Amino acid sequence: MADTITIIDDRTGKKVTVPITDGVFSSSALRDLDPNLFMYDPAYLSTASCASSITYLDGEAGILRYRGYPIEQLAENSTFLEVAYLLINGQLPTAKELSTWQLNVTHHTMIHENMRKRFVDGFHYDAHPMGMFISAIAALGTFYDDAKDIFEKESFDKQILRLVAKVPTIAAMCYRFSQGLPFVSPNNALSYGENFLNMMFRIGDDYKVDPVLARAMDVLFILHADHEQNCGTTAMRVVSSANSDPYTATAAAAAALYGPLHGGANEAVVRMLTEIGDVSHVPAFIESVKDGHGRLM
Amino acid sequence: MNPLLEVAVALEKAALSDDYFVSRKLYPNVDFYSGLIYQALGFPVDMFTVLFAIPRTVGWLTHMQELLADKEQKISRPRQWYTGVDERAYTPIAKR
Repeated sequence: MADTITIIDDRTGKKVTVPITDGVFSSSALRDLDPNLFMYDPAYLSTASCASSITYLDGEAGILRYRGYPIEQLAENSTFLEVAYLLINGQLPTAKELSTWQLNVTHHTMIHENMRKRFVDGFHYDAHPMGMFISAIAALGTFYDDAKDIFEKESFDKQILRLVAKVPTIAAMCYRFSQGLPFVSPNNALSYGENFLNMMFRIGDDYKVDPVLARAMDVLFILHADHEQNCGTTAMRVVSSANSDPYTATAAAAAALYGPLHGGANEAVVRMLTEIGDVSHVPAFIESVKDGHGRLM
Repeated sequence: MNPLLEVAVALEKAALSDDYFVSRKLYPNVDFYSGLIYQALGFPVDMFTVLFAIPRTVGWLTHMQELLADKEQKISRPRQWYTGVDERAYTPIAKR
């Protein structure tokens, strides 16, 4: 059987045969039949908008691979910064490459004082941390005059480094503000996960990050690093396609993530479990879902 | 132990042994437990999405980098299927 698909335009009898590669065929063949013919595909559920070699995801089969490496192996053996290097560069780092990358990330964790004093302090006291986070990421780009030099590799790599290094600082800053707690500066002696937990939860001088919690944080970061072309990533690509700077594009992607259908899943699970409340209520809950009342998140 | 963890484990077990959920391919994913782990780590629910955004920034930037290097990509411009009214003449306000 040929790996091709033949499309016949019954209005004209014209037909076109196109190759199928990895289950994908190019829609430009339709244009050969009729340049005014388009496919109606709400939410792009049957459209591949790009060719990508970053992440392979098959939720039904339970497969997630970054650059070919199964997520189970990465979660078990790797660290978040090593996985970040893998995603960005396509290959696992050598020991030397990893230590350089870690050192560079660690030394770019600081943010300009005005980010906090002039920008974040302007929010209302009960602002949602995600609303603050999205705005702060967009604002961050205005501090770097090379942010827009996206086609110069050295400059673009620098923006990646800055964003990867500074998002935990900004996230923790938004949390501290929302709690009315003083900002904790990044600590360059700590690992990525430890530093984040320290900026989040340090109160007084005797706080020490529990290594088990820091590892849990790191593993969760690994699991969430990329899930291919979901809503946020598509927003990232659409905005990037206009050659916007990476800070603005990241803010747009984060804005998509803020929507309850996208980034709200784990919050909805906690809400559902809280409503169920007790193990003894599980069978009744299961039955009510089957009867069409409520959803199993 | 977080009592919600017991509920989660019981719920997962009940769903995975019930044909209704199995046949509809409804199974717990990473989000089913990540919220409970975040709670155990001390994060309030309002921070969950922010915690998601921190590592995902790496994925987003990787996709941007790939897009910028992709010669086949252009500025995104999907088409629409226009279903509005056809051309009609402007009506002066006094005649509406």
